[in-house]
Amino acid sequence: MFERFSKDARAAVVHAQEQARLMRSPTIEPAHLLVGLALTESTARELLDAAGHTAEQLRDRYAELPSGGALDTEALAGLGIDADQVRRRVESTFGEGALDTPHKQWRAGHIPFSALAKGSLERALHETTDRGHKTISSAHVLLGVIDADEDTLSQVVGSAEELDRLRSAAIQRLGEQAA
Amino acid sequence: MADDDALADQAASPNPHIGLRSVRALRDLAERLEALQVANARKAGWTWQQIAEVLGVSKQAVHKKHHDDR
Repeated sequence: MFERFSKDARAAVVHAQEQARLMRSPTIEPAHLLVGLALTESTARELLDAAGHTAEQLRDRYAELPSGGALDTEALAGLGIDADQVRRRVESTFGEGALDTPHKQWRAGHIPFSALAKGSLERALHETTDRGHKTISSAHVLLGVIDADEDTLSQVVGSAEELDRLRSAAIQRLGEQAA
Repeated sequence: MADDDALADQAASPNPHIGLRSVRALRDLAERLEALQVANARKAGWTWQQIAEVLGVSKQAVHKKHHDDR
């Protein structure tokens, strides 16, 4: 499938892999792909820029979610555990970041796509062929990513409404593109 | 933040989504503490056998899980 990717779409995937590694994720997730798109000079980045989303901001919001590697402080609070207090105590003994995801989940080399991320690339392919386009561009990937993991992506961009706006903007941009 | 009653309700929630999510959150926290404390014990000179005994698991299990940590 990657041979059909445009140069910038491919670069975004490489950036996504780098993000997954930096965030110590065992897999590449759709949200990593979103950050990858925002990091790559591309149509997708133009669309994200126009909506006021920077790569840094998207990554930070993702990192605060349990799916992005953060402790689920809300669920822990439900069990009567003050995760922030646990963190403070652990860090006062073992140093800052001591409670971050263990290094063993961090691997050099290839990081596989999660099922959702694979789904988002497949959707990107469909978005391309359905429009009679030949090349999978960054905007097609953006659409695929948005459709593959709406729950997480809504939180990463701020709200479900904002995600819808981004989807519409991407569809509109692709509609202007000749087959 | 919810009040104390609401928190207690969540901890014993009959809603599987909430109950399972809290299990996952707890396991995640426990895994992080385990990695940290095993590394600390190794630094303090503990053998894998000693660590395994306190954790209540086999020496093989703890070694396999943590020998490449940090």
